Amino acid sequence: MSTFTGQVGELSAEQGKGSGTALEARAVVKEFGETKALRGVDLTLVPGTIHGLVGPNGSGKTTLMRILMGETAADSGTFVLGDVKVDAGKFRGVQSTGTNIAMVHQEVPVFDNLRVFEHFAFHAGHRKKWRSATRKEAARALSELFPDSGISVDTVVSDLSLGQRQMLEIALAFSTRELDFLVLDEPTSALGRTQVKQLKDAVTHLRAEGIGVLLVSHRLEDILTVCDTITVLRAGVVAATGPSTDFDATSLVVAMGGAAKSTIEAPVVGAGAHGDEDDRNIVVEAQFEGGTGLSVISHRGEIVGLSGLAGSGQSELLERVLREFQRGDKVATMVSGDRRARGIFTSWNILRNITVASLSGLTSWTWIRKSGEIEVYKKWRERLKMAAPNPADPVLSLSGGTQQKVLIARALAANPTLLLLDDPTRGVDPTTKAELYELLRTTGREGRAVLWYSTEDEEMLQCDRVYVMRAGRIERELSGPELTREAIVAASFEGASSHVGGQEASQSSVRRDLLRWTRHGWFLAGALLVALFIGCWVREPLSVTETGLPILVSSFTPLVFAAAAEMCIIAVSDIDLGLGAFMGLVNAISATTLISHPLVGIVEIVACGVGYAGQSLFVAIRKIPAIIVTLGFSFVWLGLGLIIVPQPGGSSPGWLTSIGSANLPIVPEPLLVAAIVAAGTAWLFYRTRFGLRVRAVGNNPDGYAVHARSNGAAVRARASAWALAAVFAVLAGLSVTALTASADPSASQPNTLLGIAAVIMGGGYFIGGRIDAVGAVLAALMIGLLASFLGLTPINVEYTSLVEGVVLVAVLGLRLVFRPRVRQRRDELLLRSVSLGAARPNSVSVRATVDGRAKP
Amino acid sequence: MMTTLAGVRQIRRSPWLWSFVGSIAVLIAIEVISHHFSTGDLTVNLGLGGFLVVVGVGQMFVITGGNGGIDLSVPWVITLSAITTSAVMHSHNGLTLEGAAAALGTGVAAGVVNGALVLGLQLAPIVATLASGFVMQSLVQITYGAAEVGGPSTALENFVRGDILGLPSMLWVALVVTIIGGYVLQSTLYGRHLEAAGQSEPAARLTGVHVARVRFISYVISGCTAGLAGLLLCGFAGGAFLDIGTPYQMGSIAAVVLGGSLIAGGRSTSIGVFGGAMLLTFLLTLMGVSNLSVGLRDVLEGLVIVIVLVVRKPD
Repeated sequence: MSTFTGQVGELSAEQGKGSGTALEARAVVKEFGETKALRGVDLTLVPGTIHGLVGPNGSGKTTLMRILMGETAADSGTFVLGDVKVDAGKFRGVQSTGTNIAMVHQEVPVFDNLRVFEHFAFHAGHRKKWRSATRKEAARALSELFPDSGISVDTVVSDLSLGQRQMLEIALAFSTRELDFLVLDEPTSALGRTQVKQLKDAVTHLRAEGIGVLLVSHRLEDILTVCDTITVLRAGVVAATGPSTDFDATSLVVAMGGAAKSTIEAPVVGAGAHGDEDDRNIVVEAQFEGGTGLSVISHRGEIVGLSGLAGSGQSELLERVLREFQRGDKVATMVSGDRRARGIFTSWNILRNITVASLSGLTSWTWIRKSGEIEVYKKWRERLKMAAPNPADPVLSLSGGTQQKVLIARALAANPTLLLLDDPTRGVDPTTKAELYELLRTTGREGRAVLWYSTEDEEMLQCDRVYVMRAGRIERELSGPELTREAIVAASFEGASSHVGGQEASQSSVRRDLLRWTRHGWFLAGALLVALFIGCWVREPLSVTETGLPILVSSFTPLVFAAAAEMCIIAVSDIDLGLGAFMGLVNAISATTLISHPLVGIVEIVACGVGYAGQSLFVAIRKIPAIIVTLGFSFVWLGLGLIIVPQPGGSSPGWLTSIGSANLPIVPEPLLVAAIVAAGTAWLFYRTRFGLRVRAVGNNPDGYAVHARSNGAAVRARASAWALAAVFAVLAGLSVTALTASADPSASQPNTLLGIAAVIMGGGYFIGGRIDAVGAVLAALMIGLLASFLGLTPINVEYTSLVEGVVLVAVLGLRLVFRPRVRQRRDELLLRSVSLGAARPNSVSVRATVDGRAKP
Repeated sequence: MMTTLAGVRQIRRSPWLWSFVGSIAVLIAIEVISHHFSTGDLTVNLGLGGFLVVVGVGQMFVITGGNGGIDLSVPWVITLSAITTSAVMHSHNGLTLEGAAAALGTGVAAGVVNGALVLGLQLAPIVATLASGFVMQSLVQITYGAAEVGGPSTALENFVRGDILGLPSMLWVALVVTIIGGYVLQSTLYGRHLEAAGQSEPAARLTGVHVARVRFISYVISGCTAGLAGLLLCGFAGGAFLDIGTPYQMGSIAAVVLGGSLIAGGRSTSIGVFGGAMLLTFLLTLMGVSNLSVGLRDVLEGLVIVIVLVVRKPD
């Protein structure tokens, strides 16, 4: 949910708001492989007008917007902004011409670890008191747009509802200063009726200010009521364009390739239309809550299509069906169009990618028969006409279309009763597509059931029956003569004018607030710490007096610094396995060289710190995981320490000892240090821009690069976090010297894992840039006090680490209980039940499908 | 010419070869520096490296499963199983099998606990195995007394320290473990599914892989090999001592990574672990014969790890 803003605002401040220059895109062409996404599209955005862009799935809307935003380059075409005229080859997005454009994306990652107002700080200029300034700005932007959004600017984004996230995103785009154009891509999909109304008002307001708005929406009602001009895209060309008064809902649907409503009022074919004989052939049946009351029923030997606007719950339905099958003994396999993330196994060769789902049939005892694998490969290479000569070649050496064939071969080789297809032809060339259609028909003739979701309405004509989905339910069932492209498009948009209503406002209750408290890492760590202090007092009242307390907590400082160092590193989603060894090295230098040659000692320590921070470059630039970089360096640190101090020995510099054992009134020094570290890191991470950058990088490095408009920015932010960690690591090493007054490079080793444990127990997570500074320090104190407490009990010292381990598991286990609930999907699937054919009596024929009809 | 090219391509596709090339380079360096490095010395080293191979192969399975899979508890599993061996065998040859079974059982139990923490409680593997390591550390200290009284059987000692067909039996053990590990990973349903889970969890799920189950088993395998290493180390050292397992925590991870397996999971080679473990062992020997100080040895070991990682073609 990031918005594309950035420094643009400052660059062209003089050009001013609503410069009055129209944006013209002429004859834009874009091809992906053999797929022609745009075949010469013209679009003109006039300042002070609202331009609506509509079109069915795959008509090229998203591609056109991505080109305007400079996210992808056009193959040819011209872009004109006033006097500036740029050819496609040199065009890097509208903003590169000095015009300001902001875009609300359909689905862009946000930093869900950041607070609402912090998102407004990325494009704000450098100011003093940036937090209060951006907080005000955020509050103003949100309240102007959505007066009753219920969003507090201090809320962490992960606590927002989906609709609130969308409101935030829109507000971010609107708040770009000196805006000339605003692109809104499906801005209302998660919004309730009130918010849509408010958004419409805001857009109208922008028009009055002379800003050009491009509104892309499937909600024809919104388009018709708000827009001045409407352009209809269809299969990469402009099908119609003109003033909105020229259109109504029907003419828009017709322009998009749908049939006029009157011609498609055919009776709906319901579940009851199938005879008893058909019933025995049912492979799966899915029933929905409310709506039209239609169910999805899939028979063996039948190709059933799932259509409707993207994101209406089709993929979710397929996944539910797959899960249902995986519980039973019948086989369903699924092919996803998202090859990279959900399809191919990138490290494997072609052969293994094909056979992975059918290995159980190729195994003798435990041995997977290579010859059997080759047979499967040969069979499917022939049937799919795969251009893959060598089965041992890496799967990534194949073209996208052939990769998709590999996935389909994998799915079919497993001999499934039901084949699930999740938009499998995404990015596949037309020739391959035609081959796949033929293959699916063959598959159907073999008696398998096919359930096929596609974003290309044209493809649905290959099916025997098609269900059109809308907002998590079945809107219409089409088959026979009524199954036409026009009918699909019409049905997709049929319910589109009525708002389903987004999740509105936030429910707040005492119980929820309580849960939120316990969810904070510091809560559990702090509660345990207090409990342990009480425990100490009960066991030995003297231990928490003015004389006892300093002794009780005397050894805490190194671990507090160690936890702070690990926290900085975990904040950028890295980890340091060499911290203890590094502390040992600093301990060694400070207990020897620093005493004999103070200047040399200081230089050495500084050099070590620089080297420590330098590890981040291996991670950020060379892309080696931090866990092994630091593992390698841990040997280096330890070795250097042992070179300096081969045998434990040395002493502490006088000044260091006196700093380390200062006799403070009331609060013992280690607790004061802990308080300063906690407050200092909390301030750094939550109150400064440095912390904002670090947490953003930790959450989503690529997203941060987009915000900062530079890849180097992410590397710098990561390095700065490591540099801060280096400071704490050095302090940790020095405090070991102050505490022990001797050098022993290997004695500090346990601090590595204890430091990590403290960060995680204190409420941090290994990934996602989510850390809790106060919690980490409290947890470090807690770990230290645990050992002291056990010393006061009759429990043998041998049990110390056992208790530590159990506490670690218990704290993290408790946190699991209080874990925030998973966010709802954009379009929740309103499914009531999924039943498999096997669950019915007399399903012998279905079983026969598996056993008998599998081979042609 | 063609064969040379094919050979080069083969090397690029076989990341494990690097560790063998490195091992040989180190051996040559040892020969150059010490001048009297015999084949006998070589076989002794191969035997020493065998312990790391055994632990490393188990570690490899955990890492292969992906999602941050790592087993930090191995040193404690090793020590605990060495103590079990010592306590159960009580230096009696007649109790050798019982002792071995107890040692392996200890390892399996530890693996089950790790698996349950990671996949049942869904803790991050690094923290879960750290926590179980803490618990085992205590168990080690509590049970250590029993180990001091007992000891490995003579049969075990003779086996571990002895030769088979002129080669140290530890080398044979390492080879057998490597081959079994490679077989399981490359040629069984389980291995394929584990690799699939490590490469892409969503894709593996769509393919019908029981991701949690295969990962759970990987922790049990790691516990089992660590238990085996503890048994063998007890025989080799003639008893259990407190930090008998310590070098194997970072060592096993380093052996896996140097062998060319991906730390992120999904692609591993058993033979690479063998090479990586031998490379690390030879390195230590090299530093020993060159009369380097302990500290300098560690520095060089760390630098070699980092340099290999940086030089190797990124995946």
